[in-house]
Amino acid sequence: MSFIDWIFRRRRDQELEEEIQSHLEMAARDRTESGESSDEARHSVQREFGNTILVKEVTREMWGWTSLERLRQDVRYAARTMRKNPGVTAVAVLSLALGIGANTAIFSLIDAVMLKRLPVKQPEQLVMLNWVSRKWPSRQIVSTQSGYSNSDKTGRATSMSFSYAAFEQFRAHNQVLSSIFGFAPLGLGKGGVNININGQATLATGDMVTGNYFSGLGVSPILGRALTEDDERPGAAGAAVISYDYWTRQFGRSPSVLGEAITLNLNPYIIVGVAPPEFFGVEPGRALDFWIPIPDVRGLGPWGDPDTRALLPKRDWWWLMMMGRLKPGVTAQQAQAQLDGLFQQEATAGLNPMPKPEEIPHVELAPGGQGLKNLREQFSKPLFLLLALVALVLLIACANVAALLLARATARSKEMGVRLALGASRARLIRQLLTESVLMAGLGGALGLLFAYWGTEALLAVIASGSDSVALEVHPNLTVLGYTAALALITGVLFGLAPATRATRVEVTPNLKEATPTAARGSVGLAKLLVVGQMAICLVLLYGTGLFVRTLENLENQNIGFNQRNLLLFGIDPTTQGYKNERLVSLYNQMLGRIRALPGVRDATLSGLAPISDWQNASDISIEGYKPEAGLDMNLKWDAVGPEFFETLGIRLLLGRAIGAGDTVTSAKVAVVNEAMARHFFGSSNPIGRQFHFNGTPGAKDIFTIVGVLDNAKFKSLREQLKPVAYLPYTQMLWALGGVHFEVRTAGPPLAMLPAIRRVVREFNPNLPLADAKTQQEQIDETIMQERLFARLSSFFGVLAMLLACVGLYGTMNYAVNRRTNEIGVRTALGAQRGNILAMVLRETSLLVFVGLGLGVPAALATVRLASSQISDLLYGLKANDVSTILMAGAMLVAVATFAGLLPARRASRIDPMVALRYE
Amino acid sequence: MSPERYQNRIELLQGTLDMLILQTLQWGPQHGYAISHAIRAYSGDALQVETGSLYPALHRLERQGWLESEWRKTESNQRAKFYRLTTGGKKQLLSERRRWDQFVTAIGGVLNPIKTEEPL
Repeated sequence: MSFIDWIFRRRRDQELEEEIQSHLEMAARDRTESGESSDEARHSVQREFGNTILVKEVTREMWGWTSLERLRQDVRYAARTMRKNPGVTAVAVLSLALGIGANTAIFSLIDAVMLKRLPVKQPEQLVMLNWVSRKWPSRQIVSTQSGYSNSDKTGRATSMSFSYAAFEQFRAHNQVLSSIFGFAPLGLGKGGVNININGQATLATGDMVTGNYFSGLGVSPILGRALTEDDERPGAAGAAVISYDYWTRQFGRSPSVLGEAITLNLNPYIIVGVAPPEFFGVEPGRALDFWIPIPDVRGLGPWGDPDTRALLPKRDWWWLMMMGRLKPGVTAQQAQAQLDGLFQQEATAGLNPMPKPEEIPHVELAPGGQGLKNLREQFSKPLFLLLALVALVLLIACANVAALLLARATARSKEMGVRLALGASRARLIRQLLTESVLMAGLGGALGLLFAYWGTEALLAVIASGSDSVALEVHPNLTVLGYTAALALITGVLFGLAPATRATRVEVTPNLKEATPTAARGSVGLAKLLVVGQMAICLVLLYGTGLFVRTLENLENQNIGFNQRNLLLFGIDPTTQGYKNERLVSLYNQMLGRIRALPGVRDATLSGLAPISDWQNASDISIEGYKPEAGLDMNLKWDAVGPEFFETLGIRLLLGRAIGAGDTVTSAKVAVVNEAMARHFFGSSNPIGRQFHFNGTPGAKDIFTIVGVLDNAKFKSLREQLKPVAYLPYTQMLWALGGVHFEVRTAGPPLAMLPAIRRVVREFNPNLPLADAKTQQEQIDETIMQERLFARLSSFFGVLAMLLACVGLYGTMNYAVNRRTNEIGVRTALGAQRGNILAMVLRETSLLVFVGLGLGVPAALATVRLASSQISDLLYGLKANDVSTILMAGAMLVAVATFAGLLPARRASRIDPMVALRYE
Repeated sequence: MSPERYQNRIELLQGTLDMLILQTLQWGPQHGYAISHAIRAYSGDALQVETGSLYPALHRLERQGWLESEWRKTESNQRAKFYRLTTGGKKQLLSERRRWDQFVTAIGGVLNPIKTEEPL
């Protein structure tokens, strides 16, 4: 009862008291006036009036109960009932807590990834600029595109990158946006910039932004100032704003950070401000350490380019992402129309001949309040799949609790009969029972929040592992709390409704007359139906689990073509320190020599890309004197590698020779190709001596001669199909040479070699931090993080679901045996053997299990087919209808369910007929 | 919330008591004691209103919106809770009276079917 209610009721009580008192006094006065003594009068008045307490009681009834008061009564009653059955309550609450907790944990992630808005001023006004075209745009319009782009099967292309000229056009002429600002990542991936603070060189992640970035977003620094348009002027001193997190990590939140001089890839900058703690940039999952104005210095370019200055005037080099803020009253459609008009003028100005219409891109606006959509696109479907998974678990938990309550409802049918007989309305009783189940669900929800908190931490730890980690802020918030509360309420009503209706559908008289309730007979049937449903859902989960686990196994246990054990990887980028061309080659060669000489190192080499890192180079080639069949794919994946690459990795040489120290900058250009390349282009003829060159790259004039053929090895990812690959000496690919990855084969644990290697690198240059130092195994594991997550989570949830379902089966069969104690006693008395009884109960159990399986198999197949049509790469080395997996899932379920069913069956077979017949 | 529960408790006067109370209040606001007095007086002491019925009825009628109440002083300077008919209460009184008249006519018809032919 609320306090207000309480006050209100007290006042009415007092008033009633006063009203009755005044009645009594008036009556007494009348009597004294007609001559009775005052004592006499009071007595007779009291007699006449009757029992004042009863009168008050009856009168109060007329006020009616306020709904809050009734709720309070119901809750108190429910709490009492729950305390009286601690076992039932504990099982129910725990089941629900696990179910709700799992759901909340996944939902927290969905909230963080899918629903959260940028912590900026009025995020709903922000729009993100994209372009779309029906085919990849004509080379006349865009010769090079750096950034996030996508082409679908029909060839329709989308991207977020524009030329700087387009930005200037929009900024100068649009009337629909109150501000428009641009940004692009510095370097590639995480830690793309060499930052030097007080002589300590480390790697940091940053964006280059237009001067109005902070004002356009409406983000004010908590210390110092934001970047402004003044910082963009030619000749302005380099200004940098750092993130709160970076400030904490590198400067211990010292206020004297303002004015601190740092260098970024050797260029001087001054820290002028610190961003607010919640702001990490506009790309969720990619937390930035710093922001600088679009630079006009050497060595700092977008997307790993060496230079920005050269890009600014180029109208056909697209790299800048843009967001804008809609003016009040302007719709996104109006804005899109005007921006596209400006864009067409800019992009197609002076083109002759005009490109085909389908090769001309158009501006499309997307809501920008949530920032870039990469993370959302990457995780949305897997997260919703996980949500579906845990929803099934919750459903099983709900069915359990419903079965428990059903059993109890039958046990309470006598109580219900009495209450109905005393005039309680059925609706009132149902409400009371629902209060109980909602209270139970509420407790489950509260406990579930706790589980969810741990679960989310664990999930984040998995997702955030590795170098391409996803920085996510997951905090308990109102959305998540609301979700949990709604979930608890819905589940409470869901699992409470059937038992409640069932419990109150009793016939009053037989229940009062008999010691054993005969009504609510159907409840065993309903409980059995629930068990069948649980079995079916459980099979769906187990089948999914089986597929995920086997997918992971297939990925992990396949032959990748090289030895990933005892292999250490790390990257360095001396170009940030001004190394180029021959000087760079010589640095790498000397480093390789020193590293190979370290004790504990068996072999060492280097390559442009780390093996199995999800990166690849792909270029079209032409083969000298070769006429390709029509439609032959001329695309070749390639990598620049150091000497002894194949020996270090352990890739088998099939033909010819490997790349060695003799392949230098000046020697004849050579290539070693994989077996797939040889087969693809040359069939069974000998590829050695054949020559090719790349089309359309800066190195198009270099002609490479094939000198060796290698066994196939995984190149980009574990999932990739066999593709033609060429390995080229890095000394002969100077135009593509930048930072590289070293691969070091060690005798012992690879990471133990790191300190020695760091010392070697530091001797060459103290400002070259190692990037992404890890073992090859770790590198591979990172690329299958999602598969691992699915396999682990679904195993956990699958086992959980199976346990819950078996508890349900056990409970229901146990209850059914209880109900039939009498009958079983009679059977035994009439000569049934223990074995007969055992078999009878087991038959009943297996009927439930097999009906459940019968429903579950088609459901499982359909579910997985649907899921794998929605999510590409869900399975590996398996089909959606995998017979052995479904057999395994079914067998597992039958085994565990039989065990769960055996206990009640054994109990039934031991029923003593004498006891059973006296049972009533 | 559940005025129908009252029906289980109040015995035979149910319905008529409501009407009698409303009728009594037609001549002006009155407190509970005076109402019971008036009913007794008008009925020539034939109808004794139990307080255990009167007060629940008053509170219920007030809840139904047919009565309003306020605290006032009586002529003998006693504070008492006075009840007054609302517009809704007046309408209710009219309809109850109409029903009562029909009821009386009907019962009368049953009890005295051949009244005119009855020998004196």
